[in-house]
Amino acid sequence: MNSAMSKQVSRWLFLSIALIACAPGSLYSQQATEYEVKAAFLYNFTRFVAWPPANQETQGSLVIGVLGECPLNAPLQQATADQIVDGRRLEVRTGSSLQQLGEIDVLFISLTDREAIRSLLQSLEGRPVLTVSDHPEFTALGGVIRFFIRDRRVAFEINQTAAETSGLKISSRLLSLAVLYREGDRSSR
Amino acid sequence: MPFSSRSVLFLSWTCTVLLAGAQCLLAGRSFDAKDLTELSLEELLRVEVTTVSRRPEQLSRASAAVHVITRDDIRRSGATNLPEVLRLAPGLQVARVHAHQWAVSARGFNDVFANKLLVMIDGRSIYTPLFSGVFWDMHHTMLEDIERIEVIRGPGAPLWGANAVNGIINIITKEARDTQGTLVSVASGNYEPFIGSIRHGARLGESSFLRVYFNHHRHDAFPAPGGGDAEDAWERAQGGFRADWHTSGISKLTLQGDLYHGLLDEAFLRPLPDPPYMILQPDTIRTRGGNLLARFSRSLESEADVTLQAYYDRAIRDTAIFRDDRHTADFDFQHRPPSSDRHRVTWGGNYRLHWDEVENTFDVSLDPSRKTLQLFSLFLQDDIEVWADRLIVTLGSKIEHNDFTGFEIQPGARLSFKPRERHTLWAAVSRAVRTPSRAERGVRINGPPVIPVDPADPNSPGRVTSFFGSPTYRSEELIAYEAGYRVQPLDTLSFDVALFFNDYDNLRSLEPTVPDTSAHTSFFSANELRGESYGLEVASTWHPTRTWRIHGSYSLLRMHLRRAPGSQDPLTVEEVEGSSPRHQWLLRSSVDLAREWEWDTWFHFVDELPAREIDSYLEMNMRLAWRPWNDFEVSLVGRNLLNSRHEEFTPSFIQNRRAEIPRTFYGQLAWNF
Repeated sequence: MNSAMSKQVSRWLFLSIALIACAPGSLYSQQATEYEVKAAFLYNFTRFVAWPPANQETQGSLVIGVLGECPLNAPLQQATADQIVDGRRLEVRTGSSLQQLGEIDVLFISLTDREAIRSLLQSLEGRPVLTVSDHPEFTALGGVIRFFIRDRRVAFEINQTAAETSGLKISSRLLSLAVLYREGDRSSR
Repeated sequence: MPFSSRSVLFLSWTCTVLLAGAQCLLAGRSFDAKDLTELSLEELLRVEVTTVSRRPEQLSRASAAVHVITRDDIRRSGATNLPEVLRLAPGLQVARVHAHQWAVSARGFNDVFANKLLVMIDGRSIYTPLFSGVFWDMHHTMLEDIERIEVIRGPGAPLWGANAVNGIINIITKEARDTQGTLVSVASGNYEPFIGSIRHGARLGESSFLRVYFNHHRHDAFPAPGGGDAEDAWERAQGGFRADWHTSGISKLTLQGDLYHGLLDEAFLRPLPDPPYMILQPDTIRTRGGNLLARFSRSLESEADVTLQAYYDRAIRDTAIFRDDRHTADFDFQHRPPSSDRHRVTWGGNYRLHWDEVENTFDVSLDPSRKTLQLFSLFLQDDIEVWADRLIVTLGSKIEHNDFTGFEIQPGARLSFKPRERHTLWAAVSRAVRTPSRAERGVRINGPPVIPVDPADPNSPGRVTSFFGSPTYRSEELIAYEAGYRVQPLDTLSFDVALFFNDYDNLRSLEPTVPDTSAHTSFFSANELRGESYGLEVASTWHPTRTWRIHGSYSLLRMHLRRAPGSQDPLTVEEVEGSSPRHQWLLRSSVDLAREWEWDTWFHFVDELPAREIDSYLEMNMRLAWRPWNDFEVSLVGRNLLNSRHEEFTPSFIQNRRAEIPRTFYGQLAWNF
């Protein structure tokens, strides 16, 4: 119906395609899903946290427990497959209660109920377990590491006091990359 | 035509130069997502994630009937036009009148001039105050660049304001950083000889990104009932850009704009005051327009944030029976103060200025032919956590002032209750108004049928059928009661059920100017109808396997309107009740065959429309896509496969040729590099 317009447009399209095709190759930035990145972080945490010596002696492998239904399981299994940290093989266990998980070194908590998290952390008190969650109030409730999304990247916050009371030593390298939680920083909602 | 050679060429070369320049600027890092564990902590911190963004997460707990159409849904639907994509959402009525005309509504009242739906693209309203609806053939955006479409059924007036009466469609495009690289896509089919899109994204700096795009679409005429074609072929070109600047992750500035031009054939049935009383006049509608939008947002401490937005939009629609030239300037402000213990407050204000100039004809005229309209509004909403993580009560209201009816107050109360994980119950009561449109206040439409004054005399002059706006026309009012339940019984299965009861008052009626005679040939708009509508919408998604997804939805809609005492309206009740389908269902299967193949089948059923003599129909669309490489895709799409052709809707007020929607096929090549 308007062939002049179509002709111009097709000519232009051809030119543009030719131009772009000849241009130096561009970079197609690839993205990862949120939980793939979180799984990679969890793996990394095991390398930058020191557990009390008792843990290493009593348990063969370094166990990451995942509590609650969560899209983390598959990427975490992939990230930790055949990985050895400090001479300990990484193992991922999933379950719906602490009893089911047994002895663990790292616990990822995928619960949204604040009260459930609070009581869970209470029952872990004094045990050398690195607790991690993406619940917004996790560090305020006494958890050690909280994931959050900032500017569409995964970031994490560390509650140092909670780590110390659990007997965990977090390397300064990890601390330098974290947002440090200080009591009274955030109004608890 | 001056545009076709000059403007397109100018636009084209601007884009080409920009694209070429952008190529040189390209710099960035790409991360291999396959083995993230090999990245250092610092690198991991820089990896962008395709997160389930904050809003949709909140939507899963939202106390409203919300459906999100994802970019995956859009791509796999095989749709080539925005309204066709909307068929994916439950509770919407979408019907195609002809090649470039659609009727789209939510929860009933469907019409070519449907007026109870608010539609926005990236925060820019695209409904026209001319008739409080959307010219779907003017507004477009590259479908590949849409991030998601949020479809909210029911009133959103406490937050969004007038016109958000029966629903809101919120089209959100991707950020420039998500459209890096170059996309070229070309499609051709039996009714769409050419659809070409080119988009290029570039990085301007550490965290600033740009994309430019150009899109050209040609569409042939659909068949007319009874043979011939419906003279509704069209062609459209659109180009635009979006740039996003992020600073330190807390501030963001977005600048975006589009320019478009369309040539849309349409055959108008024009009335004549003398025999033969009516002629069919082929016309080419020219649409032109553009917009420019700037938005600044800043995250403050403790989840507080502030957003400022301003845009300007110009839209010109030039037809043989009317010319409409419309400007909109809009300023919007929104602030969320730091959340306190239990309260999450959002408040904001908006100022909108419309000015228009129309050219009148015997067929359609608007009085006055120039008008400036101002709209002020303020809203306040508070989400109150009554029971930690269980019960959230939302109270809000919008107060606005418009030049036609003065102040309008639109409050709402909602609650969302989560008895346990994966279960959400919600309920809401809200009031919404639909303020008068320019047309309802001052239009005159002269149309067929033309009735001879003296039927016995073949040369008798005739009386045209006229519709008049009225300076006393008021706002339509709605009190809506809604409830819903969202549940995910299994990881792989979810349900979303919504019920509504809408109580309307002061709905538009068309009152005969000379009552109590049978020869009604002129009508004026009045607010003499009231009534109720109620219904049910169910949507479910099931993943039987990792590579197979089934989505189904069903919508039931009943409408009961009645005339107020004294109303003489002879037509509207039956027309409104009989123009939206009582039952609709949709079943969609998405299968990933091996790694490189995608196979989508989509059935949808639409019930009869008795007022428009449209039969119920079942249709099927299918898409098969092959992706031999990650960045290259070939797809074949067939639409309306079950019927060779059928009508879906008929014109209203402005009589143009009717069309049948035929079976269509197209093939598409897309590559991303």
